[in-house]
Amino acid sequence: MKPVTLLALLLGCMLAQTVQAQFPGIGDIGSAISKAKKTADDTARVAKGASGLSLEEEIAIGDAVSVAIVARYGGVWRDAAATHRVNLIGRILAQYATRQDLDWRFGLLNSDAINAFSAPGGRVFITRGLYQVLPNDGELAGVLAHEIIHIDQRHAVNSIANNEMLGGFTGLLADNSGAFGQFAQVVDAVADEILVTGYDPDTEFEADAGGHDLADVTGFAPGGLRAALVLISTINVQQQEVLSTHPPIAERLQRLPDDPPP
Amino acid sequence: MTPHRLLLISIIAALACATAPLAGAAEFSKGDKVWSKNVETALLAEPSPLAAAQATVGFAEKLAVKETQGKWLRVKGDDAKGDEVEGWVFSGNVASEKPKLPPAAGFTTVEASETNTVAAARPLTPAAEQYAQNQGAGNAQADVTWLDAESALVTQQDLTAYMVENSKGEYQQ
Repeated sequence: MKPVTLLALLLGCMLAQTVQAQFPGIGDIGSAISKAKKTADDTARVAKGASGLSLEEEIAIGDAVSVAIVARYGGVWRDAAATHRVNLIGRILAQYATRQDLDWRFGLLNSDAINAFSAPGGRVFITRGLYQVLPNDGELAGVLAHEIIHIDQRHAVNSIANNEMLGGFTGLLADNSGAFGQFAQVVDAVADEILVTGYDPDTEFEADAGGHDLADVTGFAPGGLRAALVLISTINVQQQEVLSTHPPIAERLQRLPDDPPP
Repeated sequence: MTPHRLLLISIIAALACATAPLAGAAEFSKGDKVWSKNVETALLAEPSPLAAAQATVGFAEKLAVKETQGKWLRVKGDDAKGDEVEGWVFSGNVASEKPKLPPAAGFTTVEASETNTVAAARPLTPAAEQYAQNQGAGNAQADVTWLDAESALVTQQDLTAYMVENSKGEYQQ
């Protein structure tokens, strides 16, 4: 038996117990059939959670995570020209990402911090502080391409699916009012991972390498991300939060190809 | 299993992981397999965005790379009728792995020219709106809604104009 199948069965058994615990008074046949159907449906959803969320679930979670990101990072910087520019560069890059099932959107956070984030479902955020230190489109493209790869490679989605507890929850998200608490729990966990703990270093290095290649194939200078990181490394870290959710810049530079700046 | 065999298998596995293709990989070679990732991908008569389309393939069709020229690939595959087709495609328009989901019309922004651009932006999902309401994040919700409307103002024509002017994507010299 495949491990995924086994995991789905195991989660299905756990779920069945949960459903039974939630509806102890159910006794009539109609309800029993309904309950069995719900269990079967939920088991299928949990199985899907073990192998990846549906697009609809990913977008629902991503939208809510985006609200959390904006709320925690000082709101959106409502500069129409800058927002137009990040959407222009970002969507040109995203045209050449593998995932064309997403409606890619790019925004600026009204924060002095130096950081960028991506939410499941195709939303990318860059702080005003970072945006303002990037001198041209090449460096901006390098940063955006890194974040696009996080979404393209489903890093947050896989993180949810790999968490058995959250995987089970997401299979149940928002299908009734009682499940909403669980949906919010998933959203908060994903937002925490994106904004507080960050991805593990290997995931970040993968986004660096993929972002480098994406910028290159699109025609932006492949050294854009490297140049951005070099610039960021000169910023006084005492005054501002600088890439707090990413591995040390020196390690990232060591792994990136030694391309010239744009 | 002997320690040497285990070590050998580990090294092979590590190499396989290290060379696993990434999305957006810049380089393909003759003999590679690639997959179309748009609803319709034109196979062109020449490696140029202005060349005539001599065939089209649908979503997630497997194509064999026969020749490369810069970032352009001459590929061969089957069209929807099963007929063999061949032509040039920009490497950014194919993927190194089979895409799972097609471009989803239900989730994408309607062409700005077709309707009011603000109305065209896909709104936040009801679940996200409820999340914002429960968290007391009405301002953040309004910000995201503003952002979505601004994003929708950037049209495909804007993207193409930038790409032509700045030699990006298919328009690289």
